[in-house]
Amino acid sequence: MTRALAIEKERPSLAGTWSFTHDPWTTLVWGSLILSGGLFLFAGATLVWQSLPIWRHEGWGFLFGGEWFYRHELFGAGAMLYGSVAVAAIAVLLAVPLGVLAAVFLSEYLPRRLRWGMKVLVEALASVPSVVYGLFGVLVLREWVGGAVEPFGGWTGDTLLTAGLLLAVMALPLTVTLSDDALRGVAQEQRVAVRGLGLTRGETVLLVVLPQAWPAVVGATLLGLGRALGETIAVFLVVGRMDNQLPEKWFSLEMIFQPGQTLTSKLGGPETHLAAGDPLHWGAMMGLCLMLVAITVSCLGGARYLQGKGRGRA
Amino acid sequence: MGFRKLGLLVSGVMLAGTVSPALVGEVLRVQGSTTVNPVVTEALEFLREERGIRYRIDTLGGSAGGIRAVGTGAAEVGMSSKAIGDEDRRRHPGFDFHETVIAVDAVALVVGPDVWGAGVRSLSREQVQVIYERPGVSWTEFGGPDRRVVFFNKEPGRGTWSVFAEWSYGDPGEAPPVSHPEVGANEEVRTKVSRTRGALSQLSASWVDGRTVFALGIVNDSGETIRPEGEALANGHYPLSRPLLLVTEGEPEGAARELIEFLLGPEGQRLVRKHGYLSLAEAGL
Amino acid sequence: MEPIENQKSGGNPQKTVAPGGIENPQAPVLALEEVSVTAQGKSILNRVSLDVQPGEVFGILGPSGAGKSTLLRTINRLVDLQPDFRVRGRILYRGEDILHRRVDTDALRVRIGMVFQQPSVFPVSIAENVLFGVRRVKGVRRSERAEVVERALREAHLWGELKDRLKDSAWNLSTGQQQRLCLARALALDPEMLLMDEPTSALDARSTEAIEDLILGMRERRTVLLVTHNLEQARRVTDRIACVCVRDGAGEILEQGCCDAVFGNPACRRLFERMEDLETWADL
Repeated sequence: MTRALAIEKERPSLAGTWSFTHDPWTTLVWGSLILSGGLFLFAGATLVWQSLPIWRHEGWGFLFGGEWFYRHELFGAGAMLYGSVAVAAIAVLLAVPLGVLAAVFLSEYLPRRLRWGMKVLVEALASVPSVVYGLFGVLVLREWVGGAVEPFGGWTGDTLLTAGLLLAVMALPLTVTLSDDALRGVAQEQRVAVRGLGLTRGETVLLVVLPQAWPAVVGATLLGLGRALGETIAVFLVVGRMDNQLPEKWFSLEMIFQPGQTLTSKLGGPETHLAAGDPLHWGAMMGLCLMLVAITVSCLGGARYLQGKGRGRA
Repeated sequence: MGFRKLGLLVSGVMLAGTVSPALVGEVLRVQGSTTVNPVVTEALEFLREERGIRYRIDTLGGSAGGIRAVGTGAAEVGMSSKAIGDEDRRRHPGFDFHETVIAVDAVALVVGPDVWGAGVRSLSREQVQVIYERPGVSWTEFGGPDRRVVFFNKEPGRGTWSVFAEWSYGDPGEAPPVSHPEVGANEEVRTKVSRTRGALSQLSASWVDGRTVFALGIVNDSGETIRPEGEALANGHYPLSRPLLLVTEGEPEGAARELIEFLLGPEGQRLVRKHGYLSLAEAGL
Repeated sequence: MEPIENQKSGGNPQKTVAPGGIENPQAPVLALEEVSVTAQGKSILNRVSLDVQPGEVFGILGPSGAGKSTLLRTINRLVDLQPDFRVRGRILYRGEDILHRRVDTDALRVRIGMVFQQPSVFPVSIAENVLFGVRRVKGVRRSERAEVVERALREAHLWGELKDRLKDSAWNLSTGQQQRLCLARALALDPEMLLMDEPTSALDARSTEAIEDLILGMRERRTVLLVTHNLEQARRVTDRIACVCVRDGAGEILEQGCCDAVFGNPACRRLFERMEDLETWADL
């Protein structure tokens, strides 16, 4: 009796109305769910609310505007949006083919014992802190890119390309290990059935394994993309942080050989501190946050959807 | 209870009233410049842990805000990155402002080994303005190699940038809207300048090593070249420098005095260097 | 004679299996001589010897765990895909030892087709499933595709049911239809021999009957090796059978010959009775 009373007392009142039973676990689960959901909504609402001044000031032009001079109250996020998209695209275009090839090798060709060791190694690489990659980027990659971009009108190693390459290196382990999981998820019977028809191992991979793992591989890619878009420190160190680097044409490539700015490198920079106290500037920074969150969340959502689809088929 | 112990207790009580107000619950209020803030905050944190000093610090209004707060009694210590001016004295007539310089913030224009090796030794204000306003200009215009000047701008909000902008354009707000690649921490500036051909950037003078990065002299309006070292720093001749000071009403007392004495001591001066400023010894003061 | 190492012969294009071979009705098309299989050092099959005549339906009967599936997979070298499987002995197919490391296993599997216990259709259309192997292995001209699909589906007794939905996904078919589609897929390659691994164990009575008809229809044209643990099925469709039992954890041949001889063997009968008891138990 005293026990039951104690539980009754400890139960949070917020979740109490939602619980179907008097089981404290149910209460706890519901409570956490409501709490985390509420926190997420609260954070989202705060971003929207705090960014209101910038939407009033710039309107939709904020999203694609090409000029950002905060001392002159010019706030256009276009160059940062372009930077983020370009950097993430370079990363994905490089990391995915390489990652999938590596995963195919790992999953379909490597003997089981070696595969296990490689997998541990790859997953260890995936968990290296990004600042380490960032230092690698500053000390090795930017040097190398600096020389490579000169024929293309580049003049420093801090470029969107450098950031993209670095992100590719960072995203590779995750892409490999997730793709490997996806390939492993294809039923062994399917492989045996193909081989039983006299097709080679390569044909098996190309015709049956990859097509079936594809939704999950794309999901893994989007997950990596979301991470790439959100990555801050490493990008910050090598992207150059140069504002207003919007190319004449949106799809022209000239700008990737030049320094640029991404949403994250801007948000990770000093303007976030400078903006405090100035509702318009602060609103602009919050607007950037909102854009970043919107892009990343849609990537993650897409990844979840595709992964679920892949699982449903296999 | 022995006589010695009683004596200690009595003197302790007496000291509590005069030397260390923190012990009896008073809070040291510090306000002012964001440039000085990191050094002072770290010093205060050390003093809180070691000696139980209680403090409150903020950067409302920057240097001017700090001076005003001392003048109105809203703070015991003001942090400022410029000397008290006539305007401040006029606003607080008859107030006994006392300034203590704890460090010097001197900004060097630095280049990497290639530009230095090609013989570039100095720049004038007009030349720097050209570099700032015309991205892509070549070093040949300034007696250097046939390479683009890669100007890494110190990111806004850094004291270094303010010193640079005040010198080159009179006021940070007057700097023309031109975008450059930006750099932040001093380590980053040094790494990138030393490893990028044609690089130029602003760097705290104490970070110049003469090995990976080299400080250029500044050609002043009368045509003489002043280098950010020695005498020129001490007498304020070098244009891209400013004193970092703490402002009190009269001679500092109590916790304010402890803070200032700590900052002038060896540990405090180490903090000063750690945050990228010239120690008093380095500045020849 | 060298023992087979896994995967060593995968990429070798050289064919040592002669395309024709001597069609002597007395000479067996397939002969296993003292074939033993171990997996991770553990014995699975112990000195199995078999003779299969061309054009006959040869049944392999025995309790589960007797290595019947492994036996089939050894014959078309699918065991190569399984890590740490080792095969010793000789398997002569039309006089050539197919366990030799230089045998082109992919070509071998085209000539010796296989149908598994669980149908594994690919997530493409019905027609694409039928063409899956043959278009890559033999090359099918666009104009011939419809004909190949129809012939294979007819042989698998599926044409009537599926001729109007050839473009539908194969995953929507019933299990029985899927199994016959797998058969059609194998038949599209026109194999000389077909290995069938309990092809009806997952199926209902109607589909089972269809598959049994199909097996009987293939007689004389193709050699069939049928693994089953259904005695009635063995009686209905096989010409000769081998009875496999488990001894010391490994499968061994207890008796082989025509059905009556094997069913008449007292040891085999005891084994079959035990299997039937077990099945009765399973049915309950």
